[in-house]
Order: sequence, then C-alpha cells, then structure tokens
Amino acid sequence: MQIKLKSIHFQNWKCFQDQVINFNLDTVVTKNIWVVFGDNGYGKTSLLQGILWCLYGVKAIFPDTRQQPKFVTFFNSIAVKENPSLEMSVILTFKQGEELYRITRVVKRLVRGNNVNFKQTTFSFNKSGKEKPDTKENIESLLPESCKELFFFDGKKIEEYAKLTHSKETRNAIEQVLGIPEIRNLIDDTKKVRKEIEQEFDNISSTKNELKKVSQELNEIKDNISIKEATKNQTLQDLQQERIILNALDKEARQSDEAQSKFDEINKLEKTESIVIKDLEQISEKIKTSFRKAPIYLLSGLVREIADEIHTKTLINNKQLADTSLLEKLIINDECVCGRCIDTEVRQYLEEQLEKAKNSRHLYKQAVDNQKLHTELSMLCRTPSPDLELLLLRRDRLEEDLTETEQAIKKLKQDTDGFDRDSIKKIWQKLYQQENALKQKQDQIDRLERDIEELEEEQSKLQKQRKKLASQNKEAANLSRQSDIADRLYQAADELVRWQIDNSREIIEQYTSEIHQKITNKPEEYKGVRINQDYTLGIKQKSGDIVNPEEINFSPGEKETLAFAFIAGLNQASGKAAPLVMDTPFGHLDPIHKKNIINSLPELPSQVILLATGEDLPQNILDDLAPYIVQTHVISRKGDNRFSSVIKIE
Amino acid sequence: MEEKIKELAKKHNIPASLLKKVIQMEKERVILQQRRLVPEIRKVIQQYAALYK
Repeated sequence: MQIKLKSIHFQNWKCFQDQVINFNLDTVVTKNIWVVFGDNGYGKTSLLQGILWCLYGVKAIFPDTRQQPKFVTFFNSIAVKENPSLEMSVILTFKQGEELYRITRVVKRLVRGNNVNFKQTTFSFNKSGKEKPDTKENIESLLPESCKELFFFDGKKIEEYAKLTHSKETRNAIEQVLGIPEIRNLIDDTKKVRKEIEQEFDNISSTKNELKKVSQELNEIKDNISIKEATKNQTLQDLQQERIILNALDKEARQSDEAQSKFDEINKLEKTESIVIKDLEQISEKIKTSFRKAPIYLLSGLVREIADEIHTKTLINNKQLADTSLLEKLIINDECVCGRCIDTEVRQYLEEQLEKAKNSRHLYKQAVDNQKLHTELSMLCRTPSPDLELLLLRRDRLEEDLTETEQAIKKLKQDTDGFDRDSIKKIWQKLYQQENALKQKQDQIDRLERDIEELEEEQSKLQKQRKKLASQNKEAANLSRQSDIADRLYQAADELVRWQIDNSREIIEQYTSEIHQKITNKPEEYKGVRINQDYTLGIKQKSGDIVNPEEINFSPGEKETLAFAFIAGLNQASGKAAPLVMDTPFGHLDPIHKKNIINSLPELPSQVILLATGEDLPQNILDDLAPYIVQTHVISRKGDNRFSSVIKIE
Repeated sequence: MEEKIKELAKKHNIPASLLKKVIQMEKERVILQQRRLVPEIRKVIQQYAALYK
C-alpha cells in the first residue's frame, strides 16, 4: 500500500523559521508528482535533511560522530539571536490508506558559557491520533533506515546501486524492502522452538527406554539432516559462484576462439603480404630497368642509321680486302685470269697496288670491329620496347593490395590484443577445469539430496514410531504433535524464503527491465536488466549476452539510469511504494537520460517529490510533466537574509 | 505470496492460518533487536497441536 508524505512542519530548522508544507493528497490517481522549486542555497537540501533528521536523527545527516557537534549550526540563526535556548523541531505526517502517522522530533539548544550544545526533548510516533511507544521501531516498520537511500536521494548517490558488488548493508536494505528478513527470522525461531520441544521430550522420555532411544535416534537424524541441508545450501551457493566463473570463462573462451581464427587469418594475410611485397619488388626492378633503357628506345632511329652506315663501311672494307687477296694470287700465278702473261710493267703496277693494299691491312681489324658493332647495334634495335604504362599500373595495384593487407592485419591484431596462443591454451584449460569443478559440485549436491531423502524417510519412520510410543503418555503425545507441527512449519518457512527471494528477484527484474528500456538512451542495444543472486545488476544485450555494467564501460549517466530503474523496480515490486524525494534530480545527467528519467516518473506507483531548480526542470520537461503535477511549491526568501526562506504554493 | 503460503501449507500438511499467523508475528517484530518470539510461536504451535489431535 502506498505511503505518502502529507505535511512537513519546520520550526527554527535551518533557513525555515516556522514553515508548514502541505502536500495535497486529495487528488486524482493519475497525478503523483509534487515539485518544490528553489534556487541553489534557498533550502531544498535543508528540506530533505529535515525529513531525514526527523526520521533517523543526527546520524542520518552526519554519519561520522565527530562531525555531529556541527548540528548546532542547524538552529535558525535569526531565531537564535532572539532566544539562544530555543527549540528546533520537524514534524512529518504520513498517510497510508486511512491511517495517519505523525512523527515529531524536537531538540533544545543548550548554552553553557561559550559552549553550545543540543539535547533531544521529544521524539514521538503518533498513529491516527494515538501516541505509540517504541518510536524508533515504528518508524523502522514504516520506512526502514537501512533503505533510506532508496526513498530519499540525490541523483549521485543512487549510482551506488549499479556497482559490481554490494555491501552487506545494501543487500539487507534490499531484502528488507522485499520482506525477506521476517521469513528468515521465522526459520530461526521455528528451529529454536523445535529444539525446545525436543529438550522437553528428552526430559519426559528419560524413564521410558524405548521412547528415549527412538527420540535420540530421531534427534540425531534431524541434526544430520540440518547439517546436510546447510552443506547443500552452501554448496548451492558455491555452485552459483562457480557458474558465474564458468560463464565468464566460457565467454572468454569464445572470444579466444574468435581470436584463434583471427590469428589464422593473420597468418594467411601475412603470407599474402610477403608474396605481394616480392611481386612489388620485382615490378619495381622492371620499372627501374625500363627507365635505365629508356634512352635506347628514344634513340633507336639514330642507332639504326648508325648500324646501317657501319654495315655499308664494312661492305667496302670487305671489298678492299678481297681485292688484296686477288692481287696476291695474280702475282704468284704469273698469269692473269684471262690467260695472258703478266709482263714486268703490269707486275710492277700490281706490286705497287699490293703494297698499297697491304698498307691498308688495318682495314681488316676495322671491318671486324664494325661488324661486331653493327651486330650489337642491330640487336639493340631489335630489343622490344617495354610497356611502361602496364608496369606502372601493375605496381599501383600491388601497392593498393599491400596497403589493404597491412590494414587488415593491423585490425586483426587490434582485435586479438591481450591474447596470445599461450593465453588461449590456458583459457581452455581453465574452462575445462571449471567444468569439472562444477560437475563435482553438482555431484555433491545430488549426493546430499539423496542422503537427505533417505534420512527424511528414516525420520518419517521414527516419527511414526515415536508417535505410537508417545500415544501411551498424554504429555508425550502432545509434545510429539508439537514437534511434528514445528518440523513442518520449519520446512514450509525454509521453502517459502527461497521462493520469496527467487520470486522477488524475478519481479524486480521484470519491473526494472521495463523501466530501464524506457529510460536508456540505447534501447536498441539492450533487452533488459538481470538481477543477480546478490542483487547486483547485469545488462541483457540484444545478442543474448549478459554483461556487467563495468565491463562495457557504462558512462556515469548510464549507471545512474540503471540504478534508478532498479530503485523504481524495487519500489514497485515491494508493494510498499514509499515516497520518493529527489533532491536536484539528475541535474548532472545528459539531456536525453534526464528527459527519459523525468518522463518515467508519472508511471511510478509512488508519490514523487522533486526538489529542483529551474535548470533541473526546464520548461519543455515541465510541460511534459504538467498533467501529472499535483502541486508546485516555490521557495523564496524574505529580503536578502539566507536564514529566512519561505515556501508557498505557486 | 498468499497463494504460495496456501500451497506450502498444503504441501507440508499444516494449516495455512498457522503459517500466516507466524509470518504476521515475525513481520510485526522484524524491526526489534530482541524479538522474543520463540515462546509466542511455541504457544501458537501448542494451540494448533491441541486443535489437530
């Protein structure tokens, strides 16, 4: 059932001298938001502190006891000047259904010489007009102190709930909201009752040997069952932890598997890279050679002309050489080819010519050289001209291929950062070991369950036997029935607490997921929220993976959003729906998260009181909220004095 | 919760009213450091034991 804050009355509390704030609760059910506007320094935080102090005392404001003397500064300065020994009070009125709860806390300012102190004079709890004893306990049952941060908070504090681990206090606070401690207490108390009954049974059966024997056996079996149950529960918890580790390792192994295939890909690409580099070197060499030979191709016409000229010269030289040879033959033969005799005059002429020809013997060497040169030049001319354009194109393509391959390798190396072949092997080994450990735990649980089952059968037989034996004695028969009921009650409570924890977790998970989906700025990435066994939070991704917010580097805004979803989900699941008082709500959040969260407030089943500046709730957000706002209060100042704030309904 | 209490009471063969009653007692005293509920629960069990002979 909803608990709503109906009014606050401050007297001499910080900047409020005498101030009553009434929250109009006679409103349509669709409206659940009250806004208190005030500039910074005007008293919004004082208002929240006043609520906390009235409910939980000075320690709610100064958790460190050494700081608590500072509380004397909370007396209104203007009023203190008029009356140094004045009283300061805060009265809160809550409404739940038809019941009204009024909580009053008053302290008196004590002045002794230069020392100023304070003393609590009144602390009372009034339920629908009747004063109740045990003020603290009554407040605890209404709004437990351990859960105060779930009801009264500033945006930053709730980030705590998106942490990797929770403190024992946080876990207790969450369980308290869910009503789990009372069932845990029932288990403890029933256990004690059972022991008490057994003790009495022992006393009355001491004179009846058979009954005593059965009773002792029964007690031994009960103790044995308790021990085995405790071991089983502990093993179940261990199993949960082992499962978490296994899941993490499994994920790591899957990643390492991907890394392994990426390593193979890197190997393949590196081979391709070396082939491309070789090809590139070859083609570069060809291009270089082509450039070196470029003058030949450019001068090929001229070379051909020179070659032809040399060829002509060679032919002339060859002719001259042939003439010399013919002259020598003529002189030796004394007879011309035509058959005539060579006379002296002709011989002399021939010898002169021969002498001349012999003198030109160097022509022979020249002819050989020319022939060689001609051959070389002809070959040069025959060398095909290279296709430089094609070579350059191929080089460009190879360079592109190389760049692409290098980039692909670089990316793959980045993806596999943190992995090496050894670490992958180790991960798989660990996974294998963890699977074995898990199997062992499961086997142990199975064994324990079988043992418990057998013991319970034995217990049932002995109980029947004891019942029969006890029926002969009225007192024993009565105790036997009591013991039987206590046993069954214990078992039912034990089962109920386990169901309650699981069921509550499922319900919070459902509510939290729904709210988170509405307020996250990445609804396309996340599927919901997972509430772990220890109430820490996980994010369900669309891929099906469940990740820890720390693992995916959640921004502070995302963490706060997640924590808010959890608190709102918890509030909804508890069925208690305590008022939510938020100081400067999400002022430091990015605009999208802020808008999403504020827009989700009308859907909460709780009374929501926003203590805000104009910046916290700009006009566009106020316009969206307008249909759900019951009242707007505004804090202003009388004159310029910072100790004279007043709150009025706008 | 109400349904589960009924289901468990049936399963463990105890009156649902007994389970409800002791849970209520625990709820009322959950905030107390000294609950002193053992004698109270014992009394309730005695009453039920007398009723369901």
